[in-house]
Amino acid sequence: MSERNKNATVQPRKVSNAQKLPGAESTKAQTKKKEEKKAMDKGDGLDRGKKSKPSDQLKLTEAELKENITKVLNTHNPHAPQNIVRFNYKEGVYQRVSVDHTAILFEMESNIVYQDSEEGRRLMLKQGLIKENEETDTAAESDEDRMKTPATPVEDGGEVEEAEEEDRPDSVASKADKKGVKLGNFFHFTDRATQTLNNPPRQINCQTAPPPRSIFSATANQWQIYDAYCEELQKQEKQKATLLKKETDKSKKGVLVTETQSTDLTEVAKETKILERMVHQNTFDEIAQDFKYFEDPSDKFRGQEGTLLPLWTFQHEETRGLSVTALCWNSKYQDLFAVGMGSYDFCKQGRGMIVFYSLKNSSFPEYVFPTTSGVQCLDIHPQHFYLTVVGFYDGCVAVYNLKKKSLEPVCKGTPKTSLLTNPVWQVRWQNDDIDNNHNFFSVSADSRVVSWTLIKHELISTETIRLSVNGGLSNVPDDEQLVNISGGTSLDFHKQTDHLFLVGTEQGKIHKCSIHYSSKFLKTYNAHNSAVYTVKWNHFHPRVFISCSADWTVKIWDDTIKVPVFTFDLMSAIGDVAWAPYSSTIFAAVTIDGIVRVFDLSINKYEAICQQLVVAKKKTKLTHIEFNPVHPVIIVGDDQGLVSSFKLSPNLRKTPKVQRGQELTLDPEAEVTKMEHILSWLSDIE
Amino acid sequence: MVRIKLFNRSHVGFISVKKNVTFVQQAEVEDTLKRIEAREDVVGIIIVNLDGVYLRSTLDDALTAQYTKHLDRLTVMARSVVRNIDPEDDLTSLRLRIEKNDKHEIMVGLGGCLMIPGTNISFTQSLTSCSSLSFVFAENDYLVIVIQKIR
Repeated sequence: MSERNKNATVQPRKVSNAQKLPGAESTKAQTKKKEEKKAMDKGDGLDRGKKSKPSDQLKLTEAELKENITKVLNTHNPHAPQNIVRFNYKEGVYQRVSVDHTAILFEMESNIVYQDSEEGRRLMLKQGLIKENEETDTAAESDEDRMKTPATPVEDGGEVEEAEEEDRPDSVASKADKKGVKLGNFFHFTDRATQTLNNPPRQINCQTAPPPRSIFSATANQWQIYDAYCEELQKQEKQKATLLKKETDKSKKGVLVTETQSTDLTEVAKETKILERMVHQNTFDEIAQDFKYFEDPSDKFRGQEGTLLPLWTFQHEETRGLSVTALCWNSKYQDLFAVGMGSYDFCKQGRGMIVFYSLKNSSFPEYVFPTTSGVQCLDIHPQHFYLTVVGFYDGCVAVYNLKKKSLEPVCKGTPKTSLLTNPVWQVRWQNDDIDNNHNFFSVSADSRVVSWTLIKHELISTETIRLSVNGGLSNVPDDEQLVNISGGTSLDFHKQTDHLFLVGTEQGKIHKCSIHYSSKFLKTYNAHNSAVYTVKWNHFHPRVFISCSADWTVKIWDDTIKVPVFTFDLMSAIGDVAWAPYSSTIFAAVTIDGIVRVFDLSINKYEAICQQLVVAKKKTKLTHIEFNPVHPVIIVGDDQGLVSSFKLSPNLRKTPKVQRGQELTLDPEAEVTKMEHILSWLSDIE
Repeated sequence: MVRIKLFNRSHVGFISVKKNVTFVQQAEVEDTLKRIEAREDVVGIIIVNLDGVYLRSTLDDALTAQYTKHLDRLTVMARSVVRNIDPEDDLTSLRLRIEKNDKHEIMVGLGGCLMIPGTNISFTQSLTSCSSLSFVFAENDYLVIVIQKIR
C-alpha cells in the first residue's frame, strides 16, 4: 500500500507528462498500470523506485482495460515458422510446408525392460532394490514429464511447475520401507525444475538443380500406329534377312545408298505423268466432258440419222509425212491405242513408226517406236496386252513388248524367200499354243499365210497356206505358179471358231480357210473385181462377214452363200471398214474423200445413217477406222499422220433391247437374231 | 470459293512385292516437265522437297516460297486424313480449284518413293533386290505443284 502511495506522489514525470492524455481517467488507468508493472519489476531489481512507462506503450481506454481477454493456451509452437514455402517440381507451384508444432523439450532414450523377465531381474539386482524402484519411478516420471511439457507454452524463462507428487509419497514410502535411506522433507518439499534455453533451430536446406526439361508433343493417328507396326515388321524381316545372307547384303547396300542420292527427278516420274494428264484434262476440259457425258439431244429430231462429235486429235511431230497405216485398240486399257505409220505410196517408201496414244493425253504419245521400214499393219494381243506384232513393208514382222523399256522389238522375223520385198499386209494374234508360246499369223503380198511362233525371243515361221488362183497347191512348174499366185491383202480370224479364217487377195477373191487344212481352201468367194482391202467377221453372228475393196464397194456376206448379201457402192475409194463391237448390224467405212459413213442394217438397208466429213483439209484421205471396244468412240486415221477421235451419237448406237428401266447390255444372242431377221428377210424376198 | 479434291491409291501390300516397274529415264521426266511448262495455260511448276528444298521452280522465289509453305501443310493434313481412314492407303494427288474471279487450278502431286517396303528409291535396283534392305519412308517425298489457268 505504501508503495502505491509512493507511486502516486512520484507520478509526475517528464516522460509520463508527455504522454498524458487529457482526462483524469487516463491517469488513473496509467497509475494502475504502473502499479502492475512495478509489482512485476520487483523481482528483477531494475528501475527501482521509478515507475517507468515505455514510450510506446499501448494506450487503452478504461473500457478496453476492463475487457476480459481470455488467454488461451494452445499447442502452437511460436518458434515454428509459418511461412515456409517450397517449390514443387512436380506441380510447378510454390507450396506451403507445414511444420510440426511439436516441440520436444525432453527426450531420453531408454529401454523398457519387462520387470518379471530375466534381464529385468538381473538389472534390478545389479543396481539394488532401491534403484530398482527408482528406475521404474523415473520411467514413470519421465513419461509424465513428457506428457506435461507439450501442454505448457514454451517461453523463455518459463517455469515448469512442480511435478506430480502423487507417486512421490509412495516412492518415498517404499524407499523408507526397504532401505532406510534418508528421507526428504514431507512438508516443504518442492520440486523445482528449470528448462534450459532452447537454441532457436536453424535450417539449412539445399536443393538440387532441377532436371532438364523439354516439351515433347506428338500425335497418335491411326496411320502412325500402322506405320510403327510396319517398321517393326521391317526390322524383324531385316534381321532374318541378314542372318541368311550377310556379305551379299552389305555390298548391295553400299551400292544402293549412292544410287538414292543421285536420282532426283526419277522419283517424281510417275507423278509428273499423272500431272501432265491432269493438266491436259483441264485444257481439254470440254472435250473430256463431252466424251463422258454428252449425248446429242438433237438426234431425236433427226429421225434415224446420227452424227459424229469430234473429240481429241492426236498428232506427233515426228510423224509428218507419214500416213496412218494401221490402228488398233488395246483390249485391257481401253483408252490406249496403237497407230502404225508408214506409207501407201509405192514410190516413197522410207521409215515408219509405231505410236501409242492414250485418250487421256492427246498432246503427246505414250510410246513411240521408230522403225526403219514403213509399218503396214499391227495387232495387239488380246490377252497379253503388252505384246504388239507389227508387219512391215519390207516383209519383216516384229514383236514389241511395251513392258520393256527399249525401242527395239523383242524379236524380228524375216521372210524366207526375199526375192522381192513383199509387204506384210495383215497380222493377227492367235491364242497361245499348247506350249504357251505366243503365235500369230501374217499374210503378205508373196501370197503366203504364215504362222509365226514366238519361242524364247525367236520367231519361227511355218507356212500355213499358199494362196493360188485355182485353190490349193498344185504341182506346176515355177513359172506357171507365179502367175497363179495372188498376193494376200487381208486376214481375219473367226471370233468364235479359232481355226477358221478369211483371206482376201489382190485379185479380189476371198478364201475361207482353216488352220488345220493347209492345202485346200474351204470356200472361195469371187468377191470383188479388184484387191480386197479388208475382210472382217461379224462380232456376233457366226456366219456374216464384211469386205471392202478397191472397186469402191462394201459387201456383206453370209458365208454359206456365194453371193454377197448386201452391196454398198460408196462412190469413192474406200480405205477401211469396221464392225461395231456393240451391235451386229452396225459398221462404218472410210473413204478417201474424207467422209465417214456409218451403216445400220437394222434401220436402213440401203443407205448410211451417218455420212460425215471429218477432215479439215480437203485432200486428206482417210485410211483406217476402228471402234473402241468399250466407249462409243471411233478413231480415224488419215494419210497426214493425224488420228481423230469421234463420239458416236445415240442414233448410231441403237441396240435391240430398248426397254424402259432396263439397262442396255450387249446381248450377243439378240444381236444374232437381229441379223438373222435381216438375212431371212432377204431370203424371203429372193 | 475453293474446291479441293483428294486422290488416293490403294496400297499394294506391304510384304515384299515384286513389281515390274519400268525403268524411267531422267531425260523422259525432264521432257514431260518441259511439255507441261510449255503449255500456254500453265503458270508454273514447282518441285519441292518436304523440307522446303526446291528442285525446280519456274516461278520467282517469293511466290515459290509462299506456295510451298502453304501447300506443304495442306498436303500433310490431307495425307493424314486419307491415311486415317485407311492406313494402307496414301495420298497421291490433290487438286485445288479457285473458281471465282481468277480461275486457277493448283495440282499437287505427291512424289517420291513408292510406299512399298522392300524396294528402294531407285527403281532399277528394285528388280535386283530380293531381300528387304531398307524401308524408305515419307521423309524423301517430293511435291510436284502445277499451277494452271482455267477458262
